[in-house]
Amino acid sequence: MQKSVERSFDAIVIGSGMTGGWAAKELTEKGLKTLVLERGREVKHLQDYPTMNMAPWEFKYRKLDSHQVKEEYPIQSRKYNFSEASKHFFVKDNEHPYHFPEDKPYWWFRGYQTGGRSLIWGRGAYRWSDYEFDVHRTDGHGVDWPIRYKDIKPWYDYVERFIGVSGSKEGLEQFPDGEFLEPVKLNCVEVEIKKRIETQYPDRTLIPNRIAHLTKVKPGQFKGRSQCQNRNMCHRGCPFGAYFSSNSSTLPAAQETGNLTMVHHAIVESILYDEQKDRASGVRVIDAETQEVTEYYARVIFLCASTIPSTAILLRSISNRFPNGLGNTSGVLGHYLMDHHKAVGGSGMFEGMLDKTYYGYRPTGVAIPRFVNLKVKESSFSRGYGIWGGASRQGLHFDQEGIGEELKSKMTKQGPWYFSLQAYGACLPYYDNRIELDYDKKDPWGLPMVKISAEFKENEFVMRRHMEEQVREILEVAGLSNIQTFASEPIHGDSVHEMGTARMGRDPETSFLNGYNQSHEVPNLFVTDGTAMTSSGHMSPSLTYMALTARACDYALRQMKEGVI
Amino acid sequence: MKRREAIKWTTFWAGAGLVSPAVITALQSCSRGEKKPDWNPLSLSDEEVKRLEILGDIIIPKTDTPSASQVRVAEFIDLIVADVLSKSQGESISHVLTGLGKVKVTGGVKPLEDMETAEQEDTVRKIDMESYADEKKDLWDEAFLKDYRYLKSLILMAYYTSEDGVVKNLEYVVIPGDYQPCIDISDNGKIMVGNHM
Repeated sequence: MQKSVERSFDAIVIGSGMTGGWAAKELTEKGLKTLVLERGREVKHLQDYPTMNMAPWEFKYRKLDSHQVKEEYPIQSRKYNFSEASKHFFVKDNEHPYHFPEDKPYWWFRGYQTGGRSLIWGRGAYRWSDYEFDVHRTDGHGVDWPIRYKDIKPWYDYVERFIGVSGSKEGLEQFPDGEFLEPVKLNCVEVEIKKRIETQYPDRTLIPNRIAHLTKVKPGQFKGRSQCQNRNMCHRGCPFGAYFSSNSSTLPAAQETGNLTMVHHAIVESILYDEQKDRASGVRVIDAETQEVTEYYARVIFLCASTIPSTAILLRSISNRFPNGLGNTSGVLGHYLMDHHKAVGGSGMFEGMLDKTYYGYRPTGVAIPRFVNLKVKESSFSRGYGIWGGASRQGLHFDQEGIGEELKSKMTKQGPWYFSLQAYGACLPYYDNRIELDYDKKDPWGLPMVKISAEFKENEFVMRRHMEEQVREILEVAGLSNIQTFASEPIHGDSVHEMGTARMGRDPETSFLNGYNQSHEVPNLFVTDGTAMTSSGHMSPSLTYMALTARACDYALRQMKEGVI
Repeated sequence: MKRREAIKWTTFWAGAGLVSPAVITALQSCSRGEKKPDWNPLSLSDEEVKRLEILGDIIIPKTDTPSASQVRVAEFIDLIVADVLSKSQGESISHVLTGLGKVKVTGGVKPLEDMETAEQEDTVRKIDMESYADEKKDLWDEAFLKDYRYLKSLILMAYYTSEDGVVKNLEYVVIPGDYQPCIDISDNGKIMVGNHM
């Protein structure tokens, strides 16, 4: 048993991923002795990226998923970036069970390790605008965000400067510009298609995607990170630290302060609540390997475990005062689960430009920012979507006619240009899309199993028809041939943007957190991951999570100074 | 692989009068299936492996770059049949390899391995053309042709993800550095790949 002095800290941060890393950095840099609890194993930047330089032939199955892998990872192996090269950054589903109703599949993608999913994220880094923060006023769904763009803007600036976001300044109200590094460049065909789209539509454009990559390094800014080398192997961990992860950036920054204590294999069973003081007092932790239980104490607690675990921790934190979960008098906790709906897109062949190509494997593509439901409202559905994609020359094509020397010669030649698009749409907050605890079933640590029940509804399905129609139209405007579009069944969780189950709001009766990600009822408890989101938007939420976290830390520090918490 | 090389070189030496006819006979007979592969197949029979190697080397022969058998394509396909592919995918492969054991010829059927090289090539070329033709000639049934295309795609995948398949055929650049978005294609127009593939 550790001495109690070693178990007391100024702050406890639960989770070390995208937001936990930011909370750790902000709190330690401001002098707080901070404990970061990570339920998974330790993954050190560079040292623990075993596949980062491996060639395809060095993998036993050339990155195909074996029967054994599919058995161990039935959900995780569905993800585009899961393979023999990255599977060690995903959980084994059979070791971490959860359940869902048969008719409502839920795909929960997870990485339990230092840095969490910041190692394997898609790296899209977007500012949300008042078309999102003010959306409730225009359509009445859900509740009103307690913040507007002006409140979060300085924190977007602050986070972008540290993580490095590449992008082009476009002056679009619905897609605010940031403090960008050089944009990734459009290739020849994308430049041509951009021209065609912009000639056809006054309100649509095609721009370089905005991603958290160092396209240029500003000296001293990024703690040993260096410029993107266009290998497009991000999901194995980057030897150059070129994309943002907690491992390469925020956690080393926190470590440097000398104020960080990090404990791995630490599953938070619950947050402790002191009824006399009416404050959260600490956490109860189960060691994932030994099952040993330890308590840690702190003045302030940042819950950053990602939406589903954070919700489960709060639901497990029961007391006389809060029999339905800590800070949950309103009853909203666990409800309004959202995710973006995807699996809508299309592609076609661009004829010509066969004498042109590109050099390198750009780790991203292009974006067509939202153009629906802005100034002019659609009558058939609420909220919006964005489109992403890119052009490339066809590479190795394994299904083509011919044999022998002639085939060998054909095989190695760059094929025609293809251009493809995929759309991502917003999801409304529905009360019955929810996370619950099933006390009849236990996980391997004796904790009630998480049960997730969520589905997309009419607004999303109407929007999807619009998405597919518009994708087709844009591909036609782009002048492509052999156009094919699709809209397959969307699965909740598939976008890995789960959010909204302890939402921010103005009214404690209909929301869990205030405008500073602070519990309405337990003032020294902050929840700054996706759990806090009031609406889903349609763009990757990570940058917003990070900005909200940094902002909440600043607020918590001020409140601590003032003696409020 | 070694066996085929041995025959080729032995024939050369025989021509030069360096090897006795008896040795040639012994090697030819081992090419007809008595000798097992120099690795242990996990899922395919020795006969299937033999046909897969012949098929692989007709689709990807040795040119100025290695052949399918030189990069051990059959061994990789055998491995993924055992550990990766579904039962029905494995059956598709067996379907093709069994079919190649009874190729229709004038006056009956003949296994691929019993044909002379030119006849083997001719057989595979016909199958290949028919499998991509809009109008089928009914020489091979639809399911066989579909499975052939599947197996062929696996052969190509296995070859072009092997070290020599990549390094000796493609523009292999591991760390490109700056992305150049619009450049003139080189004279050979080769596909550029790194370790992300």
